[in-house]
Amino acid sequence: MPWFAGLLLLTGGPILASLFLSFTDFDLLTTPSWVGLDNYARVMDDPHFGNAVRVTMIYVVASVPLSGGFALLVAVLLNRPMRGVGVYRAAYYLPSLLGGSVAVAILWRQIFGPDGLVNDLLSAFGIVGPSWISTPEYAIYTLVALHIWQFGSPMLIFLAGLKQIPAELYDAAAVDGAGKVRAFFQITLPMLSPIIFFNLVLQTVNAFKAFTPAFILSGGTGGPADSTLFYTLYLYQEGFGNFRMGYASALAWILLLMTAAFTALAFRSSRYWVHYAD
Amino acid sequence: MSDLSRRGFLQVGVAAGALALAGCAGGGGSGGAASLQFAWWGSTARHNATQQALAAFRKKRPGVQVRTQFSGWDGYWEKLATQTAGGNAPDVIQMDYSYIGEYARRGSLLDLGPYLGKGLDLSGFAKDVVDAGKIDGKQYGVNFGINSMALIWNRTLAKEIGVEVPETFTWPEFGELSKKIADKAPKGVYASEDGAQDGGAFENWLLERGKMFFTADGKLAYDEKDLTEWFTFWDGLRKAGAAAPPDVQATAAGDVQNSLVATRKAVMDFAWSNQLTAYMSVTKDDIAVHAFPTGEKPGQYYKPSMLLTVSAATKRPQDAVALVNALVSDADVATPLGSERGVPPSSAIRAALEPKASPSEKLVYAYIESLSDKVGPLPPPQPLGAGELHNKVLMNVNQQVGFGKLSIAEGVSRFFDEARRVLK
Repeated sequence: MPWFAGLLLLTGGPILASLFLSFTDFDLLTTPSWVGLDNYARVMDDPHFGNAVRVTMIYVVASVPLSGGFALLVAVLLNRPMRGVGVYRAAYYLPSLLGGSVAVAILWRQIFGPDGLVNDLLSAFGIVGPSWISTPEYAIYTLVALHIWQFGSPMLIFLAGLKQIPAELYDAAAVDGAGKVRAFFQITLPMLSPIIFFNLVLQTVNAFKAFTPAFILSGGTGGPADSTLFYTLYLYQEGFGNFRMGYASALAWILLLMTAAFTALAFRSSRYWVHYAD
Repeated sequence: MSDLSRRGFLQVGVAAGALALAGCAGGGGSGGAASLQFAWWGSTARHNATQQALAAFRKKRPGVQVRTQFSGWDGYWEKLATQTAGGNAPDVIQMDYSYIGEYARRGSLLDLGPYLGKGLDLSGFAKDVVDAGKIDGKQYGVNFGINSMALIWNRTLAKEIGVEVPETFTWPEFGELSKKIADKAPKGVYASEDGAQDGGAFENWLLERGKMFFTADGKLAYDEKDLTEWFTFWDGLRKAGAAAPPDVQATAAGDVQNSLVATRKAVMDFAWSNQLTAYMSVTKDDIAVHAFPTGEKPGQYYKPSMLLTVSAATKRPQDAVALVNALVSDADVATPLGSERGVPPSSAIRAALEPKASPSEKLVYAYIESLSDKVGPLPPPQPLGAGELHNKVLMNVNQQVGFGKLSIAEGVSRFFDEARRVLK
């Protein structure tokens, strides 16, 4: 089973190594030395840690529901029979193919820059926009917008889910006099709830791991004033920029625990709102 | 659905593992046995000049292949640390004065002492220029260019605004001048970038007060009162509209093309003399160099703008030293480099270059020359964590203060907290 060997070597090995390193003082250039739980204790009086958790939470809590909702909306619209629907689906999926890339993050930096497209547009209405990416209050939300823009893959999963809902249900509802909105809330949403749950978990994990957009938009600093210092970006800075790989490894394990806790919470809650048809 | 959660866990695991991977990938070949890797950071002007120099080197040493790795300042250090940890460090590394201690004291650099006079010819260097490459008495680096702090200013912009910039000024006079410029400047144009976050400007200001960054044994040599006064001075300039506000300053991150002088948002930038060439290459405006504000004691010194170092793990030390030597001592190889990295440290190269120097290079030579009776000694090499403290922490805390997230007093105490955390 070659895939298993690959998993063991390329994933298992590094995971174990990072667990070991998280208990050491390791500066990348000299031999690691054992420090026990020091790295885990260090987070307590590290002001950047609390900030990084806060920024990441804002990102997760804002971007996951918004991008999920948006993906669902577009999926419902694209589920209706119309001419050239395949082209639309492909077109709406396109940003997801590009979205995670460095090139798009750079493009984003231009669009939301002080003399960017957004401010050009606003100035047409006589509004002088701020420099979105270099103002702490807004910078994180340009990243949220970038995430929402990449709604393609959850949209595709929603579309597949929508196709699975038997048409009889809608016919029966129509016979009983239910309108479109009522049918959406009483049929579509409950029938789709396993898919919504799937997307929720997947998108949450992805949002916790987000790195590239913040790295590119802030030039690797997480600035201005730490406002885009994602957890992963801070971890990267500590490990690769500041010669504290032991601490960075501990941060990685704490991130794993946080993501696991969130996922567990989602699973716990799922029994109250996810309906399986069978 | 249980499958899903497992996959989710695995994805996080992979992310964690991938980050650790670089940390434990020891061994590994250093980029092909037959070639030499040379890494540097810089602007496009530097990349082009260096490629020309390497072409000249290849003609002289056809047996030695040189592969190049170049990038901007951002990302350079992360990549270098990762490569070094993975045993794939470039053979020849362009090094900054604030990082040479980190690498030399951790045993990652080759001691070039044994090669002096045997492949490495530094005979045309002044003694203090040679010594600038020493850490704990060993020659780990070779000075790759002499520079000094310099106020880079946009003469065209100043003329448009209608202000004269005097020959010399003290820090308080600089403040007054900045306010005067701000009064006349159009909206969105500032007299100066926010110098509070600039390590070079802060060090200059400290030196003029008889203080410095670090003592010889690596302890901070200034205190809360100094930093409070520094932040207060700049806070006043920001509030008066004379220094760039934090959201404008944040757009200047990265390399020279984003700087406020190049983008015409400020008349003055705190920079280094060798950067004049890069500034001139990104704007059509008339750009000039000016000494930093002066004080009671000399605030400027001649600094190695960058150093050439050789990885301790190199498999071809002779070839690596030959490349280092050619870049600083062989006129045919060093000529294309000009003074973009600073004034060449070798007197012979300087003599060869001066007749064909471009106007910007002539300005840099004249500037460095003009400082000769005004400079103080080179401060001692810095302790571990120094680069992080005065590059990153100072900028971060100043942003927090600028955006009003921290008061000046809170910012100062945050800075000294971080200093305790960061310095080793």
